[in-house]
Amino acid sequence: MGRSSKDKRDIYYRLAKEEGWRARSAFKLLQLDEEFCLFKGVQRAVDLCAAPGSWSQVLSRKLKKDDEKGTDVKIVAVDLQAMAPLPGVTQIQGDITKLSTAHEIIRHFEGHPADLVVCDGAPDVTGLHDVDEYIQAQLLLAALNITTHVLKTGGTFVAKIFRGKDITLLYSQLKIFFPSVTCAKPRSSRNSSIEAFVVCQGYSPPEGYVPNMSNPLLDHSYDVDFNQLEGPNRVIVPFLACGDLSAYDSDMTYPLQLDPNKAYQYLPPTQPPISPPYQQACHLRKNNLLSKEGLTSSCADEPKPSTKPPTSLKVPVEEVPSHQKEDVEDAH
Amino acid sequence: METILLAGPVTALEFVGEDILLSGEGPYLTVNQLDSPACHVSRRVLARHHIHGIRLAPQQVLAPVKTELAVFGGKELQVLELRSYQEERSVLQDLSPLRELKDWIWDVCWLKHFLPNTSTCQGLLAVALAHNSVLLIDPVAGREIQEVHCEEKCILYSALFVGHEWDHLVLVSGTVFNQLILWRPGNCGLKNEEGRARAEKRIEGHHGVIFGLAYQSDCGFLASASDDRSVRLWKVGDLTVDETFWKPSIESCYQPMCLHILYGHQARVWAIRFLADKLLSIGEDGACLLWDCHHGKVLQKLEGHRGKGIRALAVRQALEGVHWVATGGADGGIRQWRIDREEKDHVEVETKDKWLIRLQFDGHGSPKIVRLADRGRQMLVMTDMGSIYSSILGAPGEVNSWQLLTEDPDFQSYSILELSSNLDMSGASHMQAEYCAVGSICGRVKVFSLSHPDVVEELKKAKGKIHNLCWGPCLDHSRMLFVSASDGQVYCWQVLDTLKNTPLKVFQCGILLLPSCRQRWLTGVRYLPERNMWVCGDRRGSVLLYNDMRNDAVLGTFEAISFLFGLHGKQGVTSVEVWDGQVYSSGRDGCFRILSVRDMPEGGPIFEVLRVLRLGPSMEWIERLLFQAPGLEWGKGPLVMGFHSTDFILWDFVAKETLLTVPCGGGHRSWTYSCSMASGSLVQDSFAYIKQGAVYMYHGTRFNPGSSHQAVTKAGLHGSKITCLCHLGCVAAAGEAVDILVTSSEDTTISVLSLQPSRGQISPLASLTDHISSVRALAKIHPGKTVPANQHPETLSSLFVSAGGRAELHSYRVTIGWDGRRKALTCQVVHLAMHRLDEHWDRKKNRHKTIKMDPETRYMCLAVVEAGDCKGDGVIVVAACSDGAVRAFSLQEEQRRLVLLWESFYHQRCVLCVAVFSQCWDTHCRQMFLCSGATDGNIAIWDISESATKEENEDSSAPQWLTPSLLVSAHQCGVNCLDVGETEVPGQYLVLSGSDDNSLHVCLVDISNRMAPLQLLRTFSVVSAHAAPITGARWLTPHFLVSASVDQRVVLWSVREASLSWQEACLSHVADVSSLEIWQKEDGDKTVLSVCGQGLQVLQLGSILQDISCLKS
Repeated sequence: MGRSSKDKRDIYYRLAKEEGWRARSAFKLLQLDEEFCLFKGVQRAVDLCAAPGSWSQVLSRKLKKDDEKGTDVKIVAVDLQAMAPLPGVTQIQGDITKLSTAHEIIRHFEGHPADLVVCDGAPDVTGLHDVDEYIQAQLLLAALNITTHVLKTGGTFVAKIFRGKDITLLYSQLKIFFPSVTCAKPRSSRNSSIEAFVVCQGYSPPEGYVPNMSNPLLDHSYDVDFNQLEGPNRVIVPFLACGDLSAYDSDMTYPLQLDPNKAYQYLPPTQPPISPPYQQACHLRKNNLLSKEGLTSSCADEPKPSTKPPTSLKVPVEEVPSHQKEDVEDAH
Repeated sequence: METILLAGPVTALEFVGEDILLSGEGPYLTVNQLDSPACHVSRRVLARHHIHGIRLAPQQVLAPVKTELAVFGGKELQVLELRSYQEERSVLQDLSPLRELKDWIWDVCWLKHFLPNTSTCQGLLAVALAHNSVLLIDPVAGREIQEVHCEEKCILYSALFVGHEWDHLVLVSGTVFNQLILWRPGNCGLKNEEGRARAEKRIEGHHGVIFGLAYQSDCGFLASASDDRSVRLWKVGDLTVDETFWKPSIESCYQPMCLHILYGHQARVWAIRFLADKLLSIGEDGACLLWDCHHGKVLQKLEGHRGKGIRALAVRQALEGVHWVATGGADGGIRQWRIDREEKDHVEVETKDKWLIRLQFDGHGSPKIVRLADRGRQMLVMTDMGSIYSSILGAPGEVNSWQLLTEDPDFQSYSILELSSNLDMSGASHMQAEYCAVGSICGRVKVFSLSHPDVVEELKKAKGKIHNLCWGPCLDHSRMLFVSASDGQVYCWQVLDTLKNTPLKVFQCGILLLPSCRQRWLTGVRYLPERNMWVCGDRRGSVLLYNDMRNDAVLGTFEAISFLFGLHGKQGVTSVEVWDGQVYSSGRDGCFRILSVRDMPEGGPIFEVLRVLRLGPSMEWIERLLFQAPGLEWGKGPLVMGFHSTDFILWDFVAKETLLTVPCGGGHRSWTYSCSMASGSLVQDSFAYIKQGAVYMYHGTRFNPGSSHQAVTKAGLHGSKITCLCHLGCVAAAGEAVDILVTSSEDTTISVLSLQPSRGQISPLASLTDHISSVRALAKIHPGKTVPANQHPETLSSLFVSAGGRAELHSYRVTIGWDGRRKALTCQVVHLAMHRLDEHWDRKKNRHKTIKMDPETRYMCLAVVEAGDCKGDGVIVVAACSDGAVRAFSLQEEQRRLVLLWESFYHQRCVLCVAVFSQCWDTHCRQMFLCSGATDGNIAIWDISESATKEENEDSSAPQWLTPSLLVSAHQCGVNCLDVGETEVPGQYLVLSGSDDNSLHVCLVDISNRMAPLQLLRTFSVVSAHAAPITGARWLTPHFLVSASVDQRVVLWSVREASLSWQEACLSHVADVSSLEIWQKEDGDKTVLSVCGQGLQVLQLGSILQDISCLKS
């Protein structure tokens, strides 16, 4: 498969490169905004699990544009790993489960709470759906926990979810903090992907709720009355498909030449992947240095871990677990 | 709804004693009795979670087995007792009610000793939870005694307890931040000011999250497996006893040492276990590696699971004899591997029973040809000086003196030598002689028997150079020699057994003529007794069929009565075989093919290819197929011999595993292989080849797959997600109705499966590997009224179509029967036809005027309808395509053709699903309708009746009549599934759709007026029918339907007065549900449902049956 084959299969991947977005997920936030007007009146926004930074890019372009002077708008991006700097975005390299991170965000907002918190984070996956769904839920709850420290009453929280078997448990938890919870699917998110987004509006914590980070928020359990495992009563939030129908279809295979008057040209990704965990392993594999069994001892040479980072990395797409493809591709 | 069967990833394995292997699949725990596979016991032990671990209590009684087990997965924990007596079914008994904890469980540990402030501690459990806390519980009393949190409270991806005493208990946590944290929840552990346990040691080094952990107390090794694809081995000493490790004062200087960084897996590493001082690791690449911990080398690579990923690993460490390892795959399969206990380093070339050595050769000239005879006990070598030497092989690497058999200067520098096999057609080995034939450059051929090589018979000189010699055994224990001379002439000689020291009886029979081409000689020949014909393969890649020439008195020339020219490509056919009435051919195109001879109404018998079998990247060069060996028969399918890169490989096609790899350097001009039964469960392999003028020989024994401890405890289904499942029908097997299913998968294969509901077993019958990309859709062609249903309950013949990525479409006919003699189902698959869009485009005229068909197009869904009366056996296949098209094809079984009829880009968006229905007005008129749904939530309904009359021409663009009769905006986004149901009113149909927006939608359409356009009578829907995308929805009756979703609920709905109401739901244990299939049981009116995704689950509908019958009455 040539380098253009991903361009053929994924129209938004191509458009992201053309428009200079760091990942195709930028379109998801743009389309969520089309439906929910997320950015209206927003002065202070937080992007949790921000790397590689495409949502921060969107926040920066949209909020700064709306606010002509651009002086009052503050955007904070939080991630464990460092990412390439973005104009108008303050980066915090920190852990969203730490109280200190929450304090740092508030400090950047000069003591004011945030109007909008977004989180497009996805965990490292194991390919076992139950484990992956659980860990994704924990990531969302960690994001929700820090959100309760930094979000203003009436504020909005947007986060990625996996619509799996226990999604109603997350819905019931979000409903405690937000009167309006919607499950939204932007048209740029593939139909085949279990990914969707919760748009939680009008933050209003229960009376007497004190934000607390000393213990993690644990997910809910099934309930015999209101949220049943196998019964008819389940907490299912309304669903809304976002984005104009005239927008490109993320599932459709488009020819490389979209515009008859403009020849297709391959563009390299805007942001190459930031040292992925498999970097060393790929380097060894590429140079045939992985340990092998063999009858002769010459075949079983021990690989010598190289300290030099490889110059280029190419990871075959087939290695990515199916439901996770989109997220990994995002990172590229 | 009651579960009949669940097949999915095996996520937990544990050995109990010598004969029991416990496995966890979904929430089901299975007791596999290894000595009597028929008596396995399976029970659901968890409610909604998959089993991720099984821990045996330290006190066990092994004869008879009686042990306590803690089984956990997700947040659930269950304690059971397992009792097993020999030759009886095991019993699993609950010792506690099922507990649901508040957090995810990563490890459970049985504790041995008392807690100081409790009276008793028998059977207490320590449980490691996902936010790095440890819970001490009394499972039987259902009491939580204590919970200890670690100060580092991040999420864990793995955890491992070390020790069995609470005070000294150690938890090793593998964190999301790529660290190992060692801390002690018990009283010995340090606490911080908040009362949380200190994270006493942190081990860093991995670049990814930690998926697996293992500890070996004897060596003091700790191992960790990670997302960074490495396994790291750390020296930590004895964690529970040695207090110096924990001393905080020397924390900075006592940092555990990393002994080895083990990179060997091609993808992520999931789990690890120690086996004595060796380490086993399993990963996403489907391999299990055995590592030498001292040198950090791979000792053995165990491969055999389908697709990607081994999920579970268990070891049975034996004090003496062999160790056993069990692996459980994401494919749902369980395999066992024997690990030889070897005192010597395994990596060395020479071990007692395995060696690869250069043989001493002191004969005249340089060896050119090598052959093994007498079951690998004798070796024949021909040199460039025209000499033939023989030697009896003795002890490892030892060659008794080379004995010169014959020498002839005419055979210098160029010669051909071939041995006849002493196996006859039935596979039985006879005490008959093996014969040797040699050919020269000038056309001379000499034949002699190996038992008395001094009696040499010279054949009549052939014209020109002898290109090749082939032996073909006959039914009557005689054999034919085929001498391939110049100009494609093959001289046939019959060689009969004779008494000692009398001249050989050799008769000339006739001459076969090969088709004209450059490299025109024979490479393989076999007798086909059913037809009294000969099957041949040639160097040009053709497979040919000849009439028997033995009784031809006039020595005439025979031309092939049927041949497939260049079937195996220019690299040629390497062998032909006849086995079980079928013809097999192998070639250097990386394929072997199954062929049959079919009688044509006009023009006699012809060859046709039933199937092409590709071995994939594991072997590019197939040399030979082996169906039998002296004393050995493996029955189900061939062993494949070939070369891959620099290795000779013996591959078990049925078990999909490599039996033998010899690093010989690559494809050799002269090589020979022989295998035979060595002893009990061992098979002896001999492989010899010539490299740079020297003779090399490999000799080794391996475990016979057919012996008592089966290597494959349970066969796997698919290596990745199952995308579609289709019920083909039922066959009667030993009085029981067995369901035949076909499944397609993202692993690019299609499986034909048999489902025995009474045994709760599903087993693969055939695997079809023709697709080059992921297979997404299947559709069965319902037998029309012309085929009487159920005529032969013991055989089932069914036609189906499959489609997937790269715009590829295939069609097959499968015939399933019951072989009473072997007590097994037989499965014959005929690959009828294929169609690829890019090939279609390449054939088009005026193609420069059109845009090239994009081969990246994916076919998303298929629907099939019989074209009916108009054009005989025509079948219309409709495909939903990702490039926005709906395409219709015509399938002609007789001509074995799939032809594109038309395509319409009406939707302009990715079309996700299609469904068809037809209305018969009278015997001459059938109206066909198509429903198609796209990613915008719209459903179009088309009248496609005219497709049947459409002429096949080059223009596939949408014909004039092709516009939808109706467009329904049913959903907000993607329509994932469609089903059309009949109503009680003739001409009225219910179109059911399920969508990504969680909703179900029904439209009632009326087609009863043939002159008027189709009418939409009513629509109704349920908005939040599920909590996640609906991927399957089917009508049971006009009043009941079932839906399945990625939220893993299967829901039964009733339809009344234009509304849907919830009836019943069931949690499915199959993740990522992709489709739903329903069928009626033949022996009653029960309905069976099946969902597939990451595995498959079969459910039986019970309670609504009365409701349905009520409604009927």
